Amino acid sequence: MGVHENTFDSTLGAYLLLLPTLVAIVAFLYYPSLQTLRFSFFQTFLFGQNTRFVGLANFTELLSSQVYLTSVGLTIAFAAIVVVGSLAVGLAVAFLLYEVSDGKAAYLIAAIWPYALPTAVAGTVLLFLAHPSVGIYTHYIEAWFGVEVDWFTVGWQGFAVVAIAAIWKQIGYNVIFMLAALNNVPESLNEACELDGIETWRRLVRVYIPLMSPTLVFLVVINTIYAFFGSFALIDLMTQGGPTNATNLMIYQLYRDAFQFNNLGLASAQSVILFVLVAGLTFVQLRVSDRYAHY
Amino acid sequence: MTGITTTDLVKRFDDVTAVDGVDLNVREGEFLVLVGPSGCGKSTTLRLLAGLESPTEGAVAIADEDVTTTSPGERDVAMVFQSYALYPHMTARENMTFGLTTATQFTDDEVNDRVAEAAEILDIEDLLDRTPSALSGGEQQRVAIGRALVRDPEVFLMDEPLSNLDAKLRVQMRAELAELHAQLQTTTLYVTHDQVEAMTLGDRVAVMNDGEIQQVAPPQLLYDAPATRFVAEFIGSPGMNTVEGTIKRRGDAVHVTWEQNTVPLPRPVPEAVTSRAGESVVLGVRPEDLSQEKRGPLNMEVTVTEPLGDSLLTRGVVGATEMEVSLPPRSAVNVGDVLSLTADPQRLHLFDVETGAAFYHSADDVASEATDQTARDAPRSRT
Repeated sequence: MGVHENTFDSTLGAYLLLLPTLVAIVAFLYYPSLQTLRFSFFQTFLFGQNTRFVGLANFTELLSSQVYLTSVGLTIAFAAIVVVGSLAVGLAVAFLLYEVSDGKAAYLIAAIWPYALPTAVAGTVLLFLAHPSVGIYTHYIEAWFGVEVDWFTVGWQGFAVVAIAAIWKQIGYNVIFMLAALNNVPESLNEACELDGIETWRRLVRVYIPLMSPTLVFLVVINTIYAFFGSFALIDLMTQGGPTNATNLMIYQLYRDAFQFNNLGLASAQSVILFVLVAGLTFVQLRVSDRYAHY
Repeated sequence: MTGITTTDLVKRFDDVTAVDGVDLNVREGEFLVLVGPSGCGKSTTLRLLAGLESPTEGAVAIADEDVTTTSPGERDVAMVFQSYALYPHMTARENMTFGLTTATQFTDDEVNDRVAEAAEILDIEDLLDRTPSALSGGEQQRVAIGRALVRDPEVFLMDEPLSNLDAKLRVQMRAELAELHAQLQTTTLYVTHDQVEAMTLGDRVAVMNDGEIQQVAPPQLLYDAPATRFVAEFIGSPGMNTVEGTIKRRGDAVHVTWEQNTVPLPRPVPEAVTSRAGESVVLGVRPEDLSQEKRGPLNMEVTVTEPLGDSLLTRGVVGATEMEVSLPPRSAVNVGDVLSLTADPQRLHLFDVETGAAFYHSADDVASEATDQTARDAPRSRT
């Protein structure tokens, strides 16, 4: 320590410096979280101005509701598809970008552009690209795959379109991180592979993916959270939970109960369930990956 | 035959010419060391041979087969990198077998046999199930060499493989590499910036500077009869003293003089020297070939003394030129002393001022040998 430095030993001063952050965290994070937990034990009327303690009634109601349980199942399926899809496509795109030598910047911009769009804009764009009657892709999909595109009324099509939109939106984010991880692979390892005559895709699977594993673990967690929470805007714009509840994911059901049916107590209970589900999943992912990821 | 031949190899990166017309011939079974200062193009030359870079001009042949456009994996070369380049997530065994099991048609038994054999040669049998992070630098380098061994390639390419090791381990590994080559007799091209490594390991040593090969010769010849001023100054520790002087002729006697200093050349003086009487030349004499002598022709004022144990390396100025002299250990020499020195007349070298090319070595036998060698190995010289 230098001669002119004095140890800062004022505890009060330290708390004063922390105060702005503490205020913001308490006001916008801890207090709302605790209120949500509290609300979940109440039946509420008039935007929560009149409340009645009901204990676990909200939870029992939800867990015995066929609509809600279907929504939970749909959400888990949706998350699985979006996480696997966005990681797989992202990895393929990132690897191609890593390998290409000409026009790299242009491809990179193209790849991350969807991520730069606000979700609402992305949803609107997708809505018109794949619109059942005026969408520019609709004709080709019908011609090549022999399906009649009608995702405004056919449940699985609505689900598929929202899942594709969510994957498409997330690819850019994944590509940025994956490309950074790939660029961290020492050049001499690439050269060792070249000299060993390891073909490209085998190199990806046996060398790059293991070396990228810390980044991939991070992305699995982030994409899981995204799939559970981030798809709200897409659903609200494209399907409003329909057709026939086929895209009624937990986050959308929660929104409807809270702001369309003004049932804050029930919505709070759903928040708690959603939080526990995602936190539990994240915990399991980190635990499992500890064993496999190569740090 | 499994030698390597490069023909007029040129590599340019934008406007930088890294390799400038290299003709190199590594003979079958030979251990050839490519040595030079940082940025001289030696690593680029090696990478051109490996196929990791493609030449701007010229050709590469391995085992008499033109491989200029062949991909690295198909050249049947194995490379050992300075950074080892081990796959960090694989065990030592997996590192060694990865290339074999994926790119070749060996059966599992053959692969296991090869690994066992290489592990025995390198004494790493107990380390095979560890990952690189659990190995020391020397052990990692052994595994990296093992990876090259199991492939049983036509040619080994080594890019400063010992540079990341500490001094003691480097000396040990150097001896092991020499032993390994004696045992396997695989054609090897070894790149280093360390001239001691070059001299101790190489059957022959190629000295490179500014993208060009200066001289290719056995280590002793390189030391005794450097073909250029650069080689003279680069080889040896420390390198040769060089000083610009004038050839003076008085009857039969020929001297090189600068300022108040005069070095006589031994008789008979060849025509190549006498014909240059009155011209400027560069005189070269090694620190080991200078010694103290009363009323010697050279006076050196001492500026630095470096006791090396087996000798006392003394630096000083002769006239305006800085020179080094290797004196017997425990010589009574202090900074500021003026030493009277003489040069061994059988160990003098003269270089052209402009081109730096040697045109005279006072020891006749090495001179003729050097000419032979140069004629054989460097058909084209740009210097």
